[in-house]
Amino acid sequence: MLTVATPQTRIDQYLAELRAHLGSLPHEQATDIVEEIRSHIRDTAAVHGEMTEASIAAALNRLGPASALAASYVTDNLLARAQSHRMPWTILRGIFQWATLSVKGFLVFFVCTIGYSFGASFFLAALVKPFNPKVGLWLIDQNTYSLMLGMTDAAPRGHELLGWTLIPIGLSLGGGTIMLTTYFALGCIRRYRESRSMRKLGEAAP
Amino acid sequence: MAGRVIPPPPEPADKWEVQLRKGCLELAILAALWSERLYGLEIMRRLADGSGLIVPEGTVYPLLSRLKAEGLLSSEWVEADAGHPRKYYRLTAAGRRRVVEMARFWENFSASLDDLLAPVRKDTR
Repeated sequence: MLTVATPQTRIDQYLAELRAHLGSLPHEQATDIVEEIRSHIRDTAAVHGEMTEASIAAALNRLGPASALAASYVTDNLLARAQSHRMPWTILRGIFQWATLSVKGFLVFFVCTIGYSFGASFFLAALVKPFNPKVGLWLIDQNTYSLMLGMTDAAPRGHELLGWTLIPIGLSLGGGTIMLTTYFALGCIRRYRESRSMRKLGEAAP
Repeated sequence: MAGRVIPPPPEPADKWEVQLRKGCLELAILAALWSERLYGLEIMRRLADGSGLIVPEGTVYPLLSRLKAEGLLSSEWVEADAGHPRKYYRLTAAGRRRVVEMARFWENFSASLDDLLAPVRKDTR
């Protein structure tokens, strides 16, 4: 069965797709964006005050795929927030969004998740040490040389390597790892955003 | 092995032009809004007419959204004669300060570059 899409439904379909892909933005902001694009389409698709199927197709074509337009808003919004707040949580959120768009984003997200997890573990171990002396870097099995950071029931068998020096070492290693991961993430974000806006402008170059 | 067509690398001059456009886009948008409020499509037309800066529609709207998020622009919905509302942008106080700074930098920069270019221009005229 063929369904005939009237001009108006083509616009509605485009905007519904746009709205669906803007999901992660605050409701009010997403609605505002959709209404602005609707207003833009009404302006650009009307030829002498009338919208035809061809004029609507051309107008939508100039805007590009709804998913790509939404991705520009969402990724730019989250990555810009990550760049200005510089907090691990906002950075991870932004990169997570980027990870849904490309393999490169996924790799960066992967590396950053590992980096932040390591950093947080070092920090946590150093912070908990004063309250629980069982926390430490344990050499559990000398033969296979297995190390464990944290609490272990193997205490009687293994032995703890760092003692109280775990606190300064944990704090500086933890802080260092988090800082390095943040620098890495912000560098990747900056390069990605630059290449993105440049590619788009390249397409428009006459 | 089947011959794979390797696209030629982009001309350095083209790439440079693209970078230059990109660098100027923010200034151009802010400057277009200096004396009056405009909606997205008007801004694009102003850029195309005034500076030949043709920008894809899919780039301008997210950029306007970012400039607003940065506090340089504010926006308001206005009922228009066209029969549908339009979202107008205007510069905030911070936006006006920013565009003044950018314009100053631009003038100094282009003047010193002009000095450097004078001999090139003289010999290739």
